Amino acid sequence: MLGLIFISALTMNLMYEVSQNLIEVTDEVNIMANFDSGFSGLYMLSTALSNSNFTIIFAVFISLFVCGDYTNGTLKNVIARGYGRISIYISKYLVSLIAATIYTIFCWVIGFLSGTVLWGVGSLPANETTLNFVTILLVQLLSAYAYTSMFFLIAALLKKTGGSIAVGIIAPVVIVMIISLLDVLTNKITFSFSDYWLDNCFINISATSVPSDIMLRCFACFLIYTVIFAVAGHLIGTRNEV
Amino acid sequence: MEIILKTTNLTKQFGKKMAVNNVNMTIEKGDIYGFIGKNGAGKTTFMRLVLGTAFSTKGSITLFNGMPLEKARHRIGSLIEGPGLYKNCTAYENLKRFSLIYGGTEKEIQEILQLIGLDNTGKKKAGKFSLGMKQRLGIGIALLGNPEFLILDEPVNGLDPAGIKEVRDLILRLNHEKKVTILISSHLLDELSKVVTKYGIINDGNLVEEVSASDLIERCKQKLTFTVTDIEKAVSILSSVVPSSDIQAEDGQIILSSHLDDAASLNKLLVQQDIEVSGIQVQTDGLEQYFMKRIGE
Repeated sequence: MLGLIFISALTMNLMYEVSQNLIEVTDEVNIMANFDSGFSGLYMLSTALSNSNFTIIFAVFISLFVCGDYTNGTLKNVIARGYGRISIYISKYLVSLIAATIYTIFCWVIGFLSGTVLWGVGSLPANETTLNFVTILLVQLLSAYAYTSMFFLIAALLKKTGGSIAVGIIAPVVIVMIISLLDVLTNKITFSFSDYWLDNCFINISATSVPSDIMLRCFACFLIYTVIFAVAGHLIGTRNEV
Repeated sequence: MEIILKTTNLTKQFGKKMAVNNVNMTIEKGDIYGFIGKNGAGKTTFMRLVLGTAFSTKGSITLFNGMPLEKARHRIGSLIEGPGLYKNCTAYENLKRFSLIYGGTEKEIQEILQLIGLDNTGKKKAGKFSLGMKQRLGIGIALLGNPEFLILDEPVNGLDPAGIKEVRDLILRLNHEKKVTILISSHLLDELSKVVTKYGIINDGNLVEEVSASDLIERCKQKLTFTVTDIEKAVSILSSVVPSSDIQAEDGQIILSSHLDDAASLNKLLVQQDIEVSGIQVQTDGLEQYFMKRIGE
C-alpha cells in the first residue's frame, strides 16, 4: 500500500513533466488547474485514499475478519457461552471501523509525506479554506466507513471468506455497470444515478477543492449508505444460526 | 434438587421436517445424561437449541432454575459438532484467546493442556492437528472458566482407545469431584453405559424415553421366555411357583425375570397342565438391543 502510494506519486510527477513539455493542459484536467503549484503534499494527501486501492484491501480484510469466525467454527463457541449476537456483531463492526480509520489516516500521512518530499507541502487553491479541506478529509473518512459497512454486509450475508472476497471485489464493479446502464437508458434526463453511488461520490471528494453542493451530496450519500449497510448487516448477522 | 436444564415442548422445524419435536427433558444437578439416537435423530440440533446457536420454533428452555439464559450460558461449556479452533494458533494460543472471553488463569490453561494431553505440542498450529488432537483441544476449550454444566456432542469422536478412556475418566472426575453436570451424546453405547446416570433416547426428533441407568440395567437383565398357546392359564400356573411381580405376559409370550435356571422344571409343570409350549429362551437385552427396540428397529 505504501509503495502503491509512492509509485503513484512518482508516476504523476513523470506525467506532469511530460505534459508540461509535450501536451497542452486541457479543461478536463481540472484538478491540476485548481492548483497554484501543481502537485504537492496537500494534493497527495487528498488523493492518497483513492490511490491506495483501499476497496480491495477493505474487501479482503473485512471478509477475513468477519467470515473467519464462521469458517473456523469459533463463533459458535462465543455464542454458546451466552454472548449476545448483537454485541458480537457490533464489536466486529466497531473494530472494522477502527481499522478503516487507521488505514485512512495512514494513507493520508504517507501520501502527504510522499508529496511533500517530492514537491513540497504546497498550498490550497485560492477559493478553498483550511476548514473546507478538513471537511473534505472527514467526508473521505465517512466514505471509508460506507465501504466498510458494505463489505461487512456482504460478509454477514455470505459467511464464507472466499465468496465474500470475490463478491466484495466484483459487486462494486457490477453495480457501477448497472447504474451506468440505468443512466444511459434514462438518458440522464432529470436524474443521474451515478452521482449518488459510492464510487462516483468518492471520486468527487478525492481532491483539494470540492464545490459545497457536491460535498453535501457526497456526505449525505456516504452517511445513508453507511447506515443502511450497517443496519442490514447487523439484521442479517443476528439472525444467522451457527 | 437444582434443575440444571429443563425443556418444555422444545421444537425446531426446518421446512416440513421436525428436527426436534416437542422435547421435554429434565437434567438435575450432578446427572451425567446420555443422549442416544441414530444419525439425524436430532441430538445435535437439540444441543444447539439449548446453547442458543440455533433458534427454536417453539417451546422453552430453562437453565439453572430459571436464570436468564444469556447469564446461565456463561456457566456452560460445550463441544458441538466439530471443535471450533483458531487454525493458525497453537493449542496454548487457542486456550489463551478463549480464556480472554471465558475466563481462566494461566495456571488453569496449563492444567487443561496437561489434562487433554496437548502440553507438548509446542508451536504446532491447530490446523495441523489430527482429528483426535483437535477433539481434545475442543474439550479443553469447553473446560475453560470452570463450567458447571458441560454439553458434549460425541466428544470421543476420532479418539483412540486410550483417549476414549481418558475422556471417560475426565468426565467421571469432573462429575464426582466438581459436581459438574454433563449432557453427552455418543454412538458408542457401551462407552456411555460406563459413565451415564440417566439416558434419553431420541428418534426422528422425538424424545422416545428417559430412563435412569439403574432402571435400564433392570430392563436389560436376563429373562426366561416361554412361548405358549394359552397365556392366561400358563400365567396362573406359573404364579404358584414364581412371584407374580416377576411374570410378564406380552405378544404371546410369558417373560420371567427370575427362576432363570428352572427352565426345565417350569416347562414340565406347564406341560403337565396341558399347556403347549412351543419355545423356551433365555434372553438378554444389551443396551444396543434395547435401544434398537425403543426406536422401533
